Amino acid sequence: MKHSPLVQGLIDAFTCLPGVGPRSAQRMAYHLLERNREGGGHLAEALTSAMDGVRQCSRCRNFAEQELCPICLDSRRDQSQVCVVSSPADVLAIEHSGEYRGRYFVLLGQLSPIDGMGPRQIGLDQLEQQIQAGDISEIILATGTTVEGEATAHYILDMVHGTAVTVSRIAQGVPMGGDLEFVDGATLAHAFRGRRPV
Amino acid sequence: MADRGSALETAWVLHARPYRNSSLVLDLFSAGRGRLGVVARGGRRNHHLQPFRPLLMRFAGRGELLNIQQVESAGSPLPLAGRALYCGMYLNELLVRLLHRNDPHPGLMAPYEATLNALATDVPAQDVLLRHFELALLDELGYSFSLTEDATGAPLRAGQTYRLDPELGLVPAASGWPGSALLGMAAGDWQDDTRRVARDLLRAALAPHLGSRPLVSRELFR
Ligand SMILES: [Zn+2]
Repeated sequence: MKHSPLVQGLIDAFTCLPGVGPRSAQRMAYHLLERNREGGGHLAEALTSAMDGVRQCSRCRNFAEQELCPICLDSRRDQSQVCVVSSPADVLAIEHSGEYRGRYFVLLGQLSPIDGMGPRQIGLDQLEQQIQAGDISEIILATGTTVEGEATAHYILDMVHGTAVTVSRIAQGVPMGGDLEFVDGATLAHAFRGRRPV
Repeated sequence: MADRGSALETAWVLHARPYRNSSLVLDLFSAGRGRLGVVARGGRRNHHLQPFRPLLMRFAGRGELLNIQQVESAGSPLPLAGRALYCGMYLNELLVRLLHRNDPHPGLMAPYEATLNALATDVPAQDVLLRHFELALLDELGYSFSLTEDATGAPLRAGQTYRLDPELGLVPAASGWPGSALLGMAAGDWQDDTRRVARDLLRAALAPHLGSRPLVSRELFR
């Protein structure tokens, strides 16, 4: 059976979601059209506003709805202490651990040549400018212990070399080869307390 | 009926990409099959499935993406850190970019493993290891050229300069790669300027096969 153009368009659009193939996309489209028109309308509005209104914080690259994100705007946090993470999900995980009062730098990726991710693609030129400008006194590396995380940490260590910035790395408790998002909050809190200079 | 998927074979992860919630799509280099793509269900929780760890694997399925039936560690992960890690990533990027999937290159496994093992011992001349690997790779792909004779079969001369013709090999030219450095490469005499020439020559030799997209791992070496 062929879908009408609008239905087919909706199904195709849902397949842009991670883990959603044509079959689940069809289920989602049918569900909204058959049973939840109101929810579908909300979804459409929320998508449009978020896609228009959410951008990257100009200081830390995390999601923001203004020039700076709420964390970078928060004067009670230590803005010279910077925790470097791969993704906004890592920021959330660390915020939940309740252990950290500095700000972040969100790479939105890791050094991964085969994926086309080099230093510039993950904003390391921007981080280097902030280091050179003297805005940063301490960097905490929380890039995970995958090969890409290790390479990213080493590259940042190279950038900091010869400056007054101190560097530490969360390590304890994070499993080798582990992605940060699979680490539970308690482990993460422990890892933060146990960070060591490198 | 013969069970084609039954043998454990040596394999290295070249690249792992998250897939769905907890799975991985892996690019592997295996002794028997060359470069191949596999799906590892639940693979994000398996800490073995990382580059630079010797593995034994059993595969199932057909077509572009196989499934992993079994993974076993075949040794401890190689402790690549810092520049050695960048070098390892460079090797993997080379293999992903230059090997076709399911095109066996049994002759390349030994140089790959030897290079990684040497990188893990923190030798100072990492660049020389990379040059040896690049030469082995060119040879394996059928793109090798002589470092002792020019395109006409005449011996290279130290005082002559040469250009590299991708089809013919080294051709005497008014300017280009100095014969002394080429002979140094052939003799394994890695003086500083030989190393510099070797790096640029092999970069030029690989370029036509890499297409227009540059190798990203080269940007890691600051
Ligand atoms: Zn911010």
